[in-house]
Amino acid sequence: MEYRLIQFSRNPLREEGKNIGVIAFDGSWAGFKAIGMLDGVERAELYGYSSIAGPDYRESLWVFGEWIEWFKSLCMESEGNRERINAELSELENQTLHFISTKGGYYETTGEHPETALAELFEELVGKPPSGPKEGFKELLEKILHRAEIIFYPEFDRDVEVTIDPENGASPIVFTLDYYLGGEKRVGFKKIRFQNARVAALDAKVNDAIYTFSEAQKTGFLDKERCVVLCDTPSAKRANYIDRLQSVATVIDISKHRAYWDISTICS
Amino acid sequence: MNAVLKADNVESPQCVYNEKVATNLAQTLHIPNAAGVLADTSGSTSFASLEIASPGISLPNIRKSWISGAAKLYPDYVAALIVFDILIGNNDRYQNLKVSLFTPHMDIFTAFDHSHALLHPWHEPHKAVELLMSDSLIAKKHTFYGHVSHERLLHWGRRIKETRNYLIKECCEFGRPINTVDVAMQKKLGVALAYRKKRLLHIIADHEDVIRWTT
Ligand SMILES: Nc1ncnc2c1ncn2[C@@H]1O[C@H](COP(=O)(O)OP(=O)(O)OP(=O)(O)O)[C@@H](O)[C@H]1O
Ligand SMILES: [Mg+2]
Repeated sequence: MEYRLIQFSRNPLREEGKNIGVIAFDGSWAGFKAIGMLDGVERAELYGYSSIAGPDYRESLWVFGEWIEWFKSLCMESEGNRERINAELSELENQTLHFISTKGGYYETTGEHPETALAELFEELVGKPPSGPKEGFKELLEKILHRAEIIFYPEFDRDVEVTIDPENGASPIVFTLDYYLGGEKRVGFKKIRFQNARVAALDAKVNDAIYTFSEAQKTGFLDKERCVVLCDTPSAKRANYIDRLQSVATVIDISKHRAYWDISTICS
Repeated sequence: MNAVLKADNVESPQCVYNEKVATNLAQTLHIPNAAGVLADTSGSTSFASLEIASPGISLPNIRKSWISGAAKLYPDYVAALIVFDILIGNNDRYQNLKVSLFTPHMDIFTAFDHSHALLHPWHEPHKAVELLMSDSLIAKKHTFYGHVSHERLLHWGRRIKETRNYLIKECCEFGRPINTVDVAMQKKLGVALAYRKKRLLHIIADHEDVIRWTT
């Protein structure tokens, strides 16, 4: 499978581009995958491009959507023809300097569907989070947040402390969120690891999450459906924690296949 | 505001003049086209085509598989552009057009690149003028042939036909040479276009088989 990486550069003459997508083709098939192109959705979600576009191009985010369709159409029109795709990508610089197609290379596929190879390439070249040799809870969580693409949002933040001054003059309410997505629809996240956690520590974490989300909802800071617990699968003995958490939050098991999808749905 | 600078070249020896006249005509006739200005650079005049949707990131040029979608979304612009290209004898519309097609409420349909029209390079300028004075279609190929309604074509044909002659001539005359295009040649083009616009409806009717309008 031949591929070329697609980059966006804010300042083409001075800066390297950032990887935003990959186009893969094998002579009879071609596919394009870029940030924002979630599985099963016709048009790309463009919000994730705001940090890539930067403040100068904030008004131009929609143009990313038009270019994504351009790359998709190139794949469709060419039916995977290598010469045609390479020729059009080489001509790209006559139309724009912001979108760059790199030289690319070849990718060994294991013979299944070309879509799988494209997904792997995308994951590897564009969506890959920094990850260690073994994939633990932390690594999986990073990966899912990448995959859900919320970390590309400029309003995404980690380890946020929220202070709310109640109107009645009572003392301020303070709580912390592991992840927080600001903007119009606020979403707050707490991460909880059930496996290999000591009971006392786990109790404290669960209680803190329940306190945080109750306060957040009481003060109107967060809606219940936007209070999210990201966790792994608890053992049967620890399953009762889930019930308690569900009374104040949406609980997403990040080891489930749909996790990234559920997260991006809540955030969009 | 960014601009794409164009200069006369071997392939298109009257590029700058053609571009500026096409821009003037488009403005006078309300054809959706990129604005452009003449710029004097080191002894010769060049043409600065002002970037569409600037400031910002440039849109892609239209693609083949977008043509029918664009025709559905912008049927009136499509008719206007076809009639305009027939008027100026532009056989190079091809993908020289930027449209927004996938963003709701974002209406952009803007043509550019008229270096191969008017005194187009594969003819001597006086031969080009002769050809414009004939009932030849000149624009034998067009992005939107087969994607336009007869009614809209006629509407734009009539509109342009009824434009005053002096307005057309003013678009062509600069009162000074533009690089190699002297004042006399500019006058000749003005006369030719003023004549051609009157023949537009005939030219269109004569070439139904090429234009392939829908009814
Ligand atoms: N006003 C404009 N706004 C945005 N992009 C433009 C504009 N004018 C030209 N471009 C871009 O620059 C490219 C080249 O310009 P243009 O089509 O005018 O010249 P060309 O086809 O290279 O040369 P020729 O004049 O010989 O046909 C276009 O394909 C288009 O992507
Ligand atoms: Mg061109």
